[in-house]
Amino acid sequence: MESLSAFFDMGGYAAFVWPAYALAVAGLLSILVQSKTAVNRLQRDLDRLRPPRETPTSSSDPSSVNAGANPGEA
Amino acid sequence: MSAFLALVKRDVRLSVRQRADTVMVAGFFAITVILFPFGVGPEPGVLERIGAGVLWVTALLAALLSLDHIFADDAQDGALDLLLSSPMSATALVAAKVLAHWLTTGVPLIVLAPILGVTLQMPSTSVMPVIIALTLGTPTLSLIGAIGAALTLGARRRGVLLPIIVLPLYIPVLIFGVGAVDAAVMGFNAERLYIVLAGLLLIAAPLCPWAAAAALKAGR
Amino acid sequence: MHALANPNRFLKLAAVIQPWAIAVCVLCFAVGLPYALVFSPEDYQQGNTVRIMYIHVPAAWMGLFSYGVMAAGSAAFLIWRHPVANMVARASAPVGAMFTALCLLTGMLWGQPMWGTPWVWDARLTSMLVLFFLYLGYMALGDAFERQEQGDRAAAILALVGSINLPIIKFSVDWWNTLHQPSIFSMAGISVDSEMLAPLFLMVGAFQSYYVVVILMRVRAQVLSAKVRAARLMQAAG
Repeated sequence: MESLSAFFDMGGYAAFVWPAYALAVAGLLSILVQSKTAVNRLQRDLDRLRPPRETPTSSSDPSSVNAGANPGEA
Repeated sequence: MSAFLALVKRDVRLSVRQRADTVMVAGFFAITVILFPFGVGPEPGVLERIGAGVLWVTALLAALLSLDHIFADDAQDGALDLLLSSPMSATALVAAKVLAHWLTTGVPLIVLAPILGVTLQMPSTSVMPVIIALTLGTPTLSLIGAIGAALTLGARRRGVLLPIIVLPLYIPVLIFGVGAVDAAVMGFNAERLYIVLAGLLLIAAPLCPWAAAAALKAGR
Repeated sequence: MHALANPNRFLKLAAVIQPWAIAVCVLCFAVGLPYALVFSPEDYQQGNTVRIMYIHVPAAWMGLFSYGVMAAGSAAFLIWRHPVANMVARASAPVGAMFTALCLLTGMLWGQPMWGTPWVWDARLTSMLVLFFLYLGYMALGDAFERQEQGDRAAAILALVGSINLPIIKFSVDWWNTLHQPSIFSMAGISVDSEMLAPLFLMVGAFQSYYVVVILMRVRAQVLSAKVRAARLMQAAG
């Protein structure tokens, strides 16, 4: 597969082009993963502290609005 | 106005009585500048080429050193709260403190710099430009630094935090300050660069005390 | 806009937007990456290294864009006490810092084959470096206080101070650059072939929609965190 190896070679600049794309993937993935894990962890914590009612509702159930959980309070 | 001047006088008198700020800043400035010949070697030409840059960077760092005290001392003994509740506007309060800070830490830098320029083998044509540039630039350093000091009041690790916040903001003053001295020494027209420095000062003079005052009020 | 100040209402809106943003993001990458890596032409002078541009330029744009969002959110927070605005600002910071770092690193990878040196004190790269430190300062300051609200307000003020300074810094770095650097080193002087525009825009679109996805996630995390804190307090009291 001549053209495939030529593709990876990037005209001799492989050592520069591929690390650049690898860095991009690494950066994008790490932020994404960290954000997702934070959301999952916090949602689990919240569910443990305040078990959702039997009838399935969305995560923003009305009781949470009044429970003093107002981040706007400075 | 009289309250403003009274505050300036009080701060200057406190600082002079303690002597720590002025001596510390002057001492740090001198010792750090003198380190450079040891670092880069005393060959003619090298020191002269980097002289203006060395003076300015070191002046920046020296100004940074002394910023800690603008508000911290008064905050510690409650005097800051009293001053903030007084009829004087917070912006005027900050302006007064900045003026006092510059008088006790900026002026010694201006006085010392030409002398230290000699150790850096800077030509005699650099003396006036250095004095003018520093006179125009150091008040801006105090002004910008005051914002950093106000923002980090009460923060953890403010010793490391303050430089990270303030030094990037110092870069324009540094660039034009060194540029003015280098231009003058090379025989070019430095006036335009003095004007830029003066312009930066004129922008900073009203804006920085206002921002610092907002930071102080936000922190209470 | 003020209706969105309520975190829960914002989260409901976010839940609607999120799947679309993800779809756009995946689409842009799916089309943009092959375009960037395979189908777009080599540059006449730079050969295949020009493909780094498809990462470097969108990253630079996002670094600046994120800071703009951070500054706007900070302003809204300080002026109107818009809590969600502050959350968006805080969420924007690490993402923007990542993009700025990516811009700097890919700039180095691009510079080495092009000019034989990884770091060039090009006006744009230098400004990006300063921007990176502005991000660091914002993040460090925001986390440096016992009381979260004090950190939020201090960081917000810093974001605004930084945004005013950014053009001044850029202006001074530009001037400094003309003094010390021959203009051939300028990264701005790349003639972009029209065939390179499509993958470039696709990559910008990909990064931009990625940003929306991640920001919405991070704001959700902040809201959840506040709810968890409140729930814990109630438990301790009850």
